[in-house]
Amino acid sequence: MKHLLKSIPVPSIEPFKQWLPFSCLSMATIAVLLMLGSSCTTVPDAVVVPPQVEGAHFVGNQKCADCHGEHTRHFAGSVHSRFFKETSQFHEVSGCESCHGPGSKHIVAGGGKGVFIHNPGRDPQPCLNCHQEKHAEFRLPQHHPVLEGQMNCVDCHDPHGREIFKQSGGLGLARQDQQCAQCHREQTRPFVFVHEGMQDGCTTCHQPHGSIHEKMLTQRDAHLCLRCHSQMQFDPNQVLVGKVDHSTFLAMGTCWTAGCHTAVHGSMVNPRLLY
Amino acid sequence: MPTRFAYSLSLPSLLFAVGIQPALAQNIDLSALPSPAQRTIDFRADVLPIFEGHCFQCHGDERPKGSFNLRHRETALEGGDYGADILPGDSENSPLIHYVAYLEEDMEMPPVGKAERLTREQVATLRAWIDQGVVWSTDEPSSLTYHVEPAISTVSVSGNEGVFREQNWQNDGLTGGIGSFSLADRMDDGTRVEVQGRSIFGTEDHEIQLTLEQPNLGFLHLGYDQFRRFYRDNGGYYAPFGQSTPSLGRDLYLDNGRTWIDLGLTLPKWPTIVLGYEHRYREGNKSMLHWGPVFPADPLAAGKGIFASAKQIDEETHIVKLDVNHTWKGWTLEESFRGEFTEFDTSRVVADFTPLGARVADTASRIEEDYDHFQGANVIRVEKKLKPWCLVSAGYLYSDLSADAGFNLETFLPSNLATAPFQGDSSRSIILDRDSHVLNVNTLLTPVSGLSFFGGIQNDWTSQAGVGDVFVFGSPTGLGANLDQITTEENFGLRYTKIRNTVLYLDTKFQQREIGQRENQFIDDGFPDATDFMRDTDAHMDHKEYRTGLTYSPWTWASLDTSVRRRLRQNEYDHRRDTDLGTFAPPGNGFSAFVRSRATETDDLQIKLTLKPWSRVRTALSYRLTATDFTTATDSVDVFGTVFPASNLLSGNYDAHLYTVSTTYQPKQRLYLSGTATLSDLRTTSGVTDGTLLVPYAGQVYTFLGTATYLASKTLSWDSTYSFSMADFGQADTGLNLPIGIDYDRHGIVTGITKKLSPQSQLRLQYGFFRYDEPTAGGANDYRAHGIFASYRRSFP
Repeated sequence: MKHLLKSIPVPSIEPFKQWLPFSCLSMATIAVLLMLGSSCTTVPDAVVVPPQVEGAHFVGNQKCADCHGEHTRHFAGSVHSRFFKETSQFHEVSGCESCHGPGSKHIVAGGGKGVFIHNPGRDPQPCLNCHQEKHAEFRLPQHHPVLEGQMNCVDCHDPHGREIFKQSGGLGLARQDQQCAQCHREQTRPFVFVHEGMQDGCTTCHQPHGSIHEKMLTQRDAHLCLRCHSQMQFDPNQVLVGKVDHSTFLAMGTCWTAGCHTAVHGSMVNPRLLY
Repeated sequence: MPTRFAYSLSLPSLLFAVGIQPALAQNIDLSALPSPAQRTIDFRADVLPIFEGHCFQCHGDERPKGSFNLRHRETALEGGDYGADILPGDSENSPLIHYVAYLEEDMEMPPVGKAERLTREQVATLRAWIDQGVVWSTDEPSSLTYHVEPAISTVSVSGNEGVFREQNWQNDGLTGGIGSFSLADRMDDGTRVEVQGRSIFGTEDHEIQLTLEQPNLGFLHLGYDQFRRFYRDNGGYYAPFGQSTPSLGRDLYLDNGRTWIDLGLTLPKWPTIVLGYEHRYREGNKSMLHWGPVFPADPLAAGKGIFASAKQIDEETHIVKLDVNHTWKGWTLEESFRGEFTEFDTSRVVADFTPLGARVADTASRIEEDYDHFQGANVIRVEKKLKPWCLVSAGYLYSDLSADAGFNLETFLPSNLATAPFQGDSSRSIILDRDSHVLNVNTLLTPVSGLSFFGGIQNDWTSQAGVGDVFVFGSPTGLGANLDQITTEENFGLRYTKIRNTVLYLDTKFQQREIGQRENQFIDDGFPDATDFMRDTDAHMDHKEYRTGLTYSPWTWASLDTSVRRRLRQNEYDHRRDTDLGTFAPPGNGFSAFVRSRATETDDLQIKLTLKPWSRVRTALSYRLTATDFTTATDSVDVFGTVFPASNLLSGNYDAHLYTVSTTYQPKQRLYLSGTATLSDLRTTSGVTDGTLLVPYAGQVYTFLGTATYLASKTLSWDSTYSFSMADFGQADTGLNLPIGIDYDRHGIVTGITKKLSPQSQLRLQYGFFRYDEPTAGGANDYRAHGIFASYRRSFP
């Protein structure tokens, strides 16, 4: 926590200072005041904007559970259960209908895929209503084509928390990077000499929703590698990494773009991951 | 749910098996039935509203309770688990009437709490309808719906067309086709047919999906889709060279596609069985960041890695899958099998030496790889609700992968292809195997109202082996690598919702991983040196993650979400053996031979405040802080007699502040405005950062997304979207390093009108302007683009 407090927050926001009057501190103050002044009623739509179904009204999770028990019975173990409130006034903003829309017409119609109900599996908008920062990342120059309709959120995420081959933090047999491996087989296949950093997961180096950098890297220069591969330097004219002075190579570009360690995920023949 | 319609495998099954229907098995007081209505019954006006209000929520097309589907005449007359429920012409003895009249104990329909009980008049109506022959309205409007939306667009780009295509996933020039189409129909027996898709030529964006579903029988899902990923073809930029970024002069793109078919069997009381096949492919050329060095004429000047490179990919995957799912005596049983055959060939060219100003390299390396594997994976999973408050589940996954690979590296002269290439490392026989066993046990407990707990433990045993006979520097070489790892992961979570308007949560994740890794290489060249080695490393990795937070909504106009997360990762490496087989070569050449341990420590704080100060305004403010420290401990290093002592240093630091402001505003009923702005302030340094050769990687990313929609009339609307992003990660040229940070600003505006020509048709016209400037690329990536997009949608009904 000490480390955390040290970092709060010294943003450089010069060009847009006038647009960002809320610092972390002021937001926290507002939050505390809100908590102290708690009253009795809550208008549900203060939290999220659930998708609309014309002429339908909200019915609550229990009605959904009648037919969709395979999802609802695991829901308490999912990430989204952090926001689920049991009281009825929260049905539309924290339960099934906050993502799928009001369900009354769907029920009257006897159910059915897409019958008076939203399926965020095809349309990311219900997800983006809450995950606004992800929406912004999808607008960066390099991004997965979710807004373009070629992918959707559930290709990688399991919102209900049990899909056995996807990471969810819930009850499934999820394994690290499985969701990336289903498309990026070349990078996640076994290698004779594997980059040890792969143990930390794809998101150590890649920003999966969107990035300003090509290949959706989290950083574009050699810091991406040197965060882990640094060692104490003793000669100001050298950059020692392992037993090799890398100063000349670093001056040519990054570890992988200077034509050196080009097999960044692993190599079949070269233990130094040169090719 | 207290109804025997739902208990399809208990008493009703038994009764059905011996041919006794519940209604006939008991004494029914038929005198309590209301008399049939004395009028001609109209199905649509009199019966359908009763079904919609009281029955369809359980007895519709989707998973009808007791396998009784009232949506269609055929399925209604067929009955459910108890046999026929409707006897045409004989309402008095029709079980359905007994149920809805609440004459049979435990079979009252709708059950108490599900929907309102039918009135006597409604029961009388249903009786008359049955007595009159169960007439299903023939004038019911057609369930056929369809739409088709031809679309055409033209985009004119001045500047770097490749960058435009890459960033916007859109080809320039004239493109068009069917933007979307769909057709859906439902037959009288409940069979649903649906076709949907799109086909845009120019961007090679195609999709077609066919769905055929029959309740209580099965389904067929069939589909094909493809999209094209575009890439730029130019490399980096170094201002002192005074020349534009080198370009390959090629259109780079990769087609990604798949075809699939799923056949499902959904017979009542039977396990759900799905058999499927999928074919995926990726084919084309993509850009790489492995930029080759460009050298100026001055022989003392350093080269800069800016020459573009590309990779040709031809990848195919075939997947066979079988899923079986069944519920039996409260146990849910799942069995999933995946058999996957993947093969690909790749070829990439990296320039080794390019004189400044040359369009082709003097020398380049071509690296070709071929690879194929078969991977079989099987999952068995069971789950049961032992008590209303206790759910348990367990699963076992086994996967086995066997792969063959080949590799070839050669150096050639691009300007003189007639010259035989110089053969580098190569191999035709590399074999890899990977086996995994994963065992998982979970529980979800809700012991008291408002409190839930989940916990799970997962063990993953993975063993991987790779061996190869390769030629290194032209000499036969044996190499091998084994990797054995055991990973144990524990997940726990708590949710507490009994504090008014509040959810408190705590999630933890612990992971321990033990790794044993052995690598060896011996080159049969008669020169034992540092390239001949043998390594045996034991590694221990310990990962802890804690997250706690709350969501709180105290007033009608405010809500707060906040959480704190801390992640700790500690990796320890014990180099049991790290031997270079050369006589004079000092040991410790391989990674991570000089690293003894490394640790990352991440703190994450998130606060989100949502406000609705006025009925027409909603705004959300959020802040996120992520701070990570990387620490590395290294062994002492002997560099040709000079010994550098062991050290422990802060090898990296990453700080990120993310601010988001989002607002929607509806000043008038017909006008809707929304906007989201974000600011990311990022800074990364490493233990090598010295301000000259390596400067901090720091800067801000700004984004804004705004939309406006105005409904001018019932048939005319206008909407606009403006998106903006910019970054200032540009690095100063110190004369030593290659400045590689990026400065850019990007704008995109799309505005247009939608005109409803009739209730079934509408026309959409849009204009778009896109602009991108990247000063750190010397303007080589800049573009301006104007686009016109038109579509016409025709739908029925």
